[in-house]
Order: sequence, then structure tokens, then C-alpha cells
Amino acid sequence: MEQVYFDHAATTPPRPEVIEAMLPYLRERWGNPSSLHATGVRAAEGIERAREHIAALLGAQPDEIVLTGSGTEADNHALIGVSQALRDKGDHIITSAVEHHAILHTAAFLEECGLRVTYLPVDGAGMVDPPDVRDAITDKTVLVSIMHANNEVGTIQPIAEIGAICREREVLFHTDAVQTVGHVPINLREIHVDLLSLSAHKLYGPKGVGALYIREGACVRSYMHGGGQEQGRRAGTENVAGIVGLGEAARLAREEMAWEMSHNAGLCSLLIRGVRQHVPEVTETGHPCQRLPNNASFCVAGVEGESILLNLDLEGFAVSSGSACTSGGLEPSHVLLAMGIPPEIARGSLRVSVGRDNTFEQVDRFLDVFPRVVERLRSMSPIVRAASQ
Amino acid sequence: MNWVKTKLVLEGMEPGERLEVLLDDGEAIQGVPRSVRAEGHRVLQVTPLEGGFRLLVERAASEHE
Repeated sequence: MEQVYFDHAATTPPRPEVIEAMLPYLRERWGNPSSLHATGVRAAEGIERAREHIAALLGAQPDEIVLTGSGTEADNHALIGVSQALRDKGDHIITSAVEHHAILHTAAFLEECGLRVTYLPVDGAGMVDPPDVRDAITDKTVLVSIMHANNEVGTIQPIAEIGAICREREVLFHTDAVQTVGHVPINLREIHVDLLSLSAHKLYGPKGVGALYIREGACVRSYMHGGGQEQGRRAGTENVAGIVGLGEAARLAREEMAWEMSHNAGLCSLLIRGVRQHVPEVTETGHPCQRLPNNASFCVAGVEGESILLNLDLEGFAVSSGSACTSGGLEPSHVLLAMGIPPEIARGSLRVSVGRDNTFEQVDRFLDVFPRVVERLRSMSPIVRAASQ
Repeated sequence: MNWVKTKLVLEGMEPGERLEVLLDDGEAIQGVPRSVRAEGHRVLQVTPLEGGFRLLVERAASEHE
């Protein structure tokens, strides 16, 4: 039975071109990029070429790209680095209730350190209202951090509008763009974003590499201390092969973005239409229009999302319930609860995230299997049986 | 890092084109001209500036790997 991977929001398979680009930096060009001799220089060249590709994907300058070990590290660097750099200015950070845990748990850590954090609410589609950002900013605010797109429900936030507000109020603006970089156009020459986090393994690159864009002149302290790598901004001997892989993934994403967006949107459109037609009592979640082209998310009444996930896995489909980072827990998603979805409905959440290698035939097979899985689970559900008596 | 960035820019240039590189005093001015020559490019001029140097480099006619 063909295994179909419909969980690209969790991670993506490294592309063959990415792997090929990385191999020389494991086999021959394994030097320490900080070394002055030719062995080190050959490794450093790979990093700098990758940096140029990443910058080009974002409309940034290469020197504005700080390479990190993950998107989570980039998020930590942004929040902790800014709060440290600007502690004489203030002690207040604004974020949203639907951020990834990399932001929420870092914010909670900063609260323990004595900072104040405002968690902005969202509407039923998971969208932050820009006037709420404006109203929350005080003279002690040092940073606003709002994710570009939500990893669970796919809603794309109005970061251009929020960025303009932050510029007007002279507050630094960070966005966790882990779900959007490489998948939707981002041009940092056209929107006001001071810091941006990204992760290689979300755009067909390897795991263990990320980056933090820091606009030239933005005030940020280092997060990782030690050697002078990354121009003193992020210590630690670089994951050269991984960085080269990220660079290649960025280059390919820039070249193929238009095609990929169209391909993914077509797959999701077919899938969503099919679910509407063939599976009763399913709520689509996230914004209907301002959403990631590769994300379809639902709440299925009367069943647990994890049960759906496990049964679909038995049928050869890899999907997600809630977010991958929280799949070990049985609590409903904080994102869905923040959107006002009742817990008993939120427990039936399902996320399907397609990718460049998925096909329309695979979506057709999913639409053949999914209704049967839901019907079977509902027939066994004590909640559904009690409601029908 | 100075040499790495210089090298990447030179790779994108046509043979015979010239590049101006601004370098701090110290390790950079000691290492970069040597690396430029080792790659086969020409160092046309080294001009002292306040706190550093200006290097004028001519891209070689052929690649030296």
C-alpha cells in the first residue's frame, strides 16, 4: 500500500538537489569555517553562498541573515535578544494567543524573568486584529511578535499592517515565518519586519538548521555566547552541510514558488470540496481566504483527532491532529481554543498539509478513505451513540 | 570571512573587471592580498586609509581552483 505523506507542515522531505549540495560538505569540505587555511575557507564559502540564497528569497541583505540551529532557536534569539538589548527602554512584549510554543514558552520564560507579556486574542478565524496591536503598545513595549501563518489552521496574519503600526510606534516587530518562508512570497524591502524566523526542514531542507533575519540597525543581543561566528551574533561551530542544504532549498523555493503555490492550492481545493461533500458535521478551521495554500484543517464532530490520525495512518495516510509538537498530549489545541472553538469540538481536529510531491490521485484516494474512517469511528463513539438515543 | 566574501564577488565578475575591497588593518590586510594572488587574480593597488586599506583587484582571465 502506498504511503501518502500529507503532513508537510510538520516537516518536509529533503529534496534530492539539497542532499546533493550537502554531500561535498560532509565528504571533502568538512573544515572549520572559522579557520584561516584553505580547508576552512572552502567550508566558509558554502556558508556564504547559502546566506546569499536565503537573503535573496526574503528580499534581504546577506549580512542581515544569522544562521541558527532551528526555527525555535531563532524565535528564542529574537525574544530574548531584543528584551535584553532594550531593557533600559522597557519590559513589555506583545504576542498572540495562537503562536507556536517556541514563542509562547519563551514569552512565559521572560515573564518569569520579570517582563510583562500581552497575549492578543484572535477572532474565530484565528486572525489578529491590527488595531489590537496598536492599543496594546505602551511606552514600555520593546517588541511585538506575531507569527506570519499559523501552523495548525493555516491563517496568514496581516503582518504588513502590523509592521506598519510597529514602525509608526517605533517598536521592533518580529514574525515567526517558519510556515511561510519558501511557500508564499515574502519581500522584506516592501513590508516592515525587523526580525524573522525560519526553519530549513519546513522548505525541503535538512533538520537542525534555521535562520533569524535581523534588519540592519535593529537592536538585538546575542543569544548564543562563545566564539565569534556569525559576526559575533551567534556562537558555535556552524552546521556547514546543513546550512548549505538550507541555501539550496531557498534557491529552489524562490525559483519554483509560483508553481508550488498553484499546485498545493489545487490539491487543497479538491480535498476541501470533497470533505464538504462526503463527510457530514465537519467544520473547516482557519481563515477561508487568508491561509496557507498547502493547509486544510478541520474539526470532526464526535471523534477524537488522534483516533482519526491513527486510523488514517493504518490506511497509509500521514496527517496531523493539532500540531506535531503537541501531539503527545491529549489536551485540545491552544490555537483552536483561542479561536473560540469549544473543547469537545476542538478535540476532533485534523490537519492535512500537502506538498510538491503529492498528486491529485492521492487526494482522490484520501477522499475515498476518510469518510469511511470517520463513519467507523462515529459508530463506535459513546458520545455519538448517546446523542442519537 | 573577508577573503571568502571577496572571492564570492570575484567569481561573479567578468575577467578583467576590477573590484575595490575595503579592509581593516591587521589580519584582513595581511591575508586577503595573499589569497587574491593565490587564486590567480591581480592586486593592482593597496591604498592606506584611516583605520584600514583599500585594495584594487583585477579578476583573472581563468578560474584557479
